[in-house]
Amino acid sequence: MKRLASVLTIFFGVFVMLLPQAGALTKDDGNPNGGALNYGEYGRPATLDPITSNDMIALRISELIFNGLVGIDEKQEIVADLAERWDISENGRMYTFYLRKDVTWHAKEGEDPMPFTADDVIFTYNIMMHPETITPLKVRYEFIDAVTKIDDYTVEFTLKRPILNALAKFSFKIIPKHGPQNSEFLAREDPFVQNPIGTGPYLLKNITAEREIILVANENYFKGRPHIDKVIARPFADQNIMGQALMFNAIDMIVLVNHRDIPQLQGDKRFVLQPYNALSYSFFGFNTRNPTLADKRVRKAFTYALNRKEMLDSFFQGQGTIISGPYAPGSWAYNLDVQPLPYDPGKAVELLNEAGFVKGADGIMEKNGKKLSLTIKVPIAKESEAVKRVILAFRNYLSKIGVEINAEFQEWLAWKEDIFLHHDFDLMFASWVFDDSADISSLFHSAEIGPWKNNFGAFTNAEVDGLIVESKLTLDHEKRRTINRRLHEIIADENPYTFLWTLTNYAAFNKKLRRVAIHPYKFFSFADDWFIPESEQR
Amino acid sequence: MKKAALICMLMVLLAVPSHAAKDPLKRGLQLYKKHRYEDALHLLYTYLPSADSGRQAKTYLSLGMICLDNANLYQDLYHAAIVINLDYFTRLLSVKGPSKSHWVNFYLGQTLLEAGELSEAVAFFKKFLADENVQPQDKDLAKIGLATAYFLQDEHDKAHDLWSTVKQNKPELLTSLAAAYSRVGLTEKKPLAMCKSALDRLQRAGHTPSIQLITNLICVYAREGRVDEGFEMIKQADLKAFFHEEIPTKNKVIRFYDSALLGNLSLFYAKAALKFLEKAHASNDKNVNGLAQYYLGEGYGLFGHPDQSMRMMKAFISANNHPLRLKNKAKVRQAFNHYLLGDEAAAKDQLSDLLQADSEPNLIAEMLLSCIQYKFDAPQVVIQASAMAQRGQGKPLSRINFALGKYYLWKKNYRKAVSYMEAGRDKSNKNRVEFNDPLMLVNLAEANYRSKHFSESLEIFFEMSKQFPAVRQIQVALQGVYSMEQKSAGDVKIF
Repeated sequence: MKRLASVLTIFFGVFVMLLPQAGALTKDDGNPNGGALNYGEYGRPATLDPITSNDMIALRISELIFNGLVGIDEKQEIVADLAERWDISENGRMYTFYLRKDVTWHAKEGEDPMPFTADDVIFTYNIMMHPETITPLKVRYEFIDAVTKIDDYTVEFTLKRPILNALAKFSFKIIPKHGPQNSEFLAREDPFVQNPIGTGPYLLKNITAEREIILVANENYFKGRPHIDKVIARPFADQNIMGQALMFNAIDMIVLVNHRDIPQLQGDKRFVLQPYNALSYSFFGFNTRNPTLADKRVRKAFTYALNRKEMLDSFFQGQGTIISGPYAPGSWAYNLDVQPLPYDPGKAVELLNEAGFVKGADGIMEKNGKKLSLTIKVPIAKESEAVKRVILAFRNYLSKIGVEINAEFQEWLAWKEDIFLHHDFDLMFASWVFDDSADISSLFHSAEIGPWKNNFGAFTNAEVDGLIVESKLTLDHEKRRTINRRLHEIIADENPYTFLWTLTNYAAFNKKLRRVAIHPYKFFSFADDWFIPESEQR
Repeated sequence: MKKAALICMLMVLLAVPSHAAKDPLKRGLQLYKKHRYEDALHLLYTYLPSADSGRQAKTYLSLGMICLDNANLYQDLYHAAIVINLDYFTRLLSVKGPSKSHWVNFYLGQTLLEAGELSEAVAFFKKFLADENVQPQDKDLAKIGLATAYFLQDEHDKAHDLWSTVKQNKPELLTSLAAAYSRVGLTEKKPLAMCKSALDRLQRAGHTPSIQLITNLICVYAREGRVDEGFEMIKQADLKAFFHEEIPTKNKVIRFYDSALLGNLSLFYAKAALKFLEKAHASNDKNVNGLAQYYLGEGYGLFGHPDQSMRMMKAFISANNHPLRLKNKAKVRQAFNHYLLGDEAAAKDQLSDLLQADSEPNLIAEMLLSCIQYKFDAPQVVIQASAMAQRGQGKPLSRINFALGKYYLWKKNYRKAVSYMEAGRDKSNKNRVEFNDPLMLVNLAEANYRSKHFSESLEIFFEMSKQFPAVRQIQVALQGVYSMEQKSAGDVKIF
């Protein structure tokens, strides 16, 4: 009898385990749940919340943890997310969002999940716009005049003026009122930025000693539990190792394939190579606080000194395009009439001479007895072999025109602090990634100079400021396009960066992952629908 | 298949000793192999007068082959341009108020005329003509377009009346009129002489030809078979120039481009191809003669002369000395010649025989591409092609994946279209024409555009424009649609 009781207990236990958890929502697409997705990242994010972070690694994570009021579907249409519907007033200034009533926040262990309400929306907006919150988002939302709670599930945003694409801007991620310790503003010291709570398909479980970020399926996700049980982001400092990890099945996906691995992956039937057109480009940025680099002639001399085509061909197998200005060639804003400056070391020397530099006895340019010697700072997360070669080539090209360059590779977070907070650099190497809106205001407007702001090089140009403001004010697409063309022209001439190239982006993943659709910018927007067939779950 | 032909061609060339690096003919073919058609044509056309008689025939043959591919490429670019320009102009039309465009009606009329939507074209030309904000001297261009639409609707008297009111005081107007006459076949109006007169006037005034004038001249030269004048014109032209710039308000500049340029280029290269191939065919060199026969068969078939194509291909197939692959390809052409001449049953039989006899992927791809071109539904070809494509990705199956992608583009299944063409793409060199058939790239760009993957599409055209600058006629409209369609929040992140 005892034995029978034990068997029954075990049977009952197994039966209960097999039942969906109380309140769990399942998707009705017929695809199985289970399995884990290990994906390779090229670094680890400084913060994991959607407000203080400004890098792609964090963006991808926050796409799994959080939701906005609206989202964008695979057909690039705006769809309901936390808001189930909305009204827009005739004058285009009032946006009223009616919130879903079935959304709860990820619950902390031992706590009941708390409901998502209008208070969270207002809290998010207020904390985002607080002067002491360090976030690149502020500039994007200055068009909002006020936000009002109508009731627990209705919020109303009043705009200062109607703007183009306003609805899309309400895709900003909502954070919980009960999340941050400080309810006034969000600082990088707040535990919330490392341990965020969201409403999204996955919730943060833990970060391991190896800095792997472990996310688990949100059983209560309002759009239905995501199929894959667990998502693990594994940081790789070296992209070459990441490629090997995929090929040896240590990971299932790479968000950005090293160009050298493409031929091998293309020929390997175990993997899918999927292009996604992130609008991105690489550049050398100048710190114009340095009086030498404040001189446009010096900045341009650096650009003339570089053989960008040779660098692209040699280090990236020619898999990209040389660009001439602040937009990627795949963007609607790219000015097709502006051509990249040619490789012309003679012209570079001429410009340096014009700026008052002459070659000293040791071959290094100098002015008033001071040598033209500068430091370039490069994040270690970017220390792939190709990037190292780019930096070495940069040094060599500049040495040919008499400029001494010291390269300093730094740990990712230290690099970010030096560039964005302390502004302690002469030159830097990085890449920007844009969404479709091609908004460069945070990069080049003079109001965006300051700690943790994107105009880290302190570039200032009155005409650029004016045009950026005008582009934000206009409701006319063609006018905005004209302004962007002009901005491209001026910024290419002002040369606050040496614009380098845009590279082709491929994600690679194991074929066991099914129904994979990738958002070209946010990447994981549709990951809750991805699944792994039961036979291939391990 | 092109590879097989190229190998034959190189073999023919190798029969004559020469220094590879210095030999323009070999360099031209190398450029052709890399799909750099414009560079190859420029090189070979310049070389032609200095080539000795032994090499002249080979140069004609090479020029003919390249022109044939270039004509096909511009044909697909032309179709993509019509689709994208129509979308763009329609969106521009929705802007009302003082900053609205007045010229958009004219360009919609022009594009609809190109698309064969004649009654709609008439409506937009009329709107432009009725617009009080348009200067009277600008209205003459619309009168020419409107009259052309009338003529093509068989309203000849109305057309002639309207054409007669056009002032011929400007070279652009004179050549536009010449192009219209040429297009509808009114050779008695002497369009070539009109063009000459316009050019003389331009020269006297010391002006360079505008893109409008160039487009008109290419149209006339193509229809009159004036290959030399056409090449000279194209060589000097800036094919990425805009046709018209409108500034409705401060800081709003709209640049208009015209898909007609791409259509005219396609027609011109088609005519040039036939002319060069006919010269090569007249050669005494047996190998050159044979290959020219095959390409003439292709050219005649492609450009509306199935009876001539049939004669050529029959002779080619019956000769003993040609490679089997090319002979089979000639049989595909023959099948479609039957179809074009009204014998559908014979076409189906021939395709069926070929399907059973040869399962070479590139041949199946050619069958499917021809089916698409002539809107000929052959389910068996699609089934066999799909089964072959299952074998994987990469270069050997690139052509079959392209054909299937194009098939689904025709069937408006854009997701499948993109998926197949992606499989056929060289991912290591994703947008470069040197590594991917530009014809595939254009179709992939269009499939991406229709799937709203605008940036993917723009990137393809951006790379293509380096070799084919006339692609600008598409790029700007595509950028315009993208800017209006994109729905993003304005985010930017450090990488």
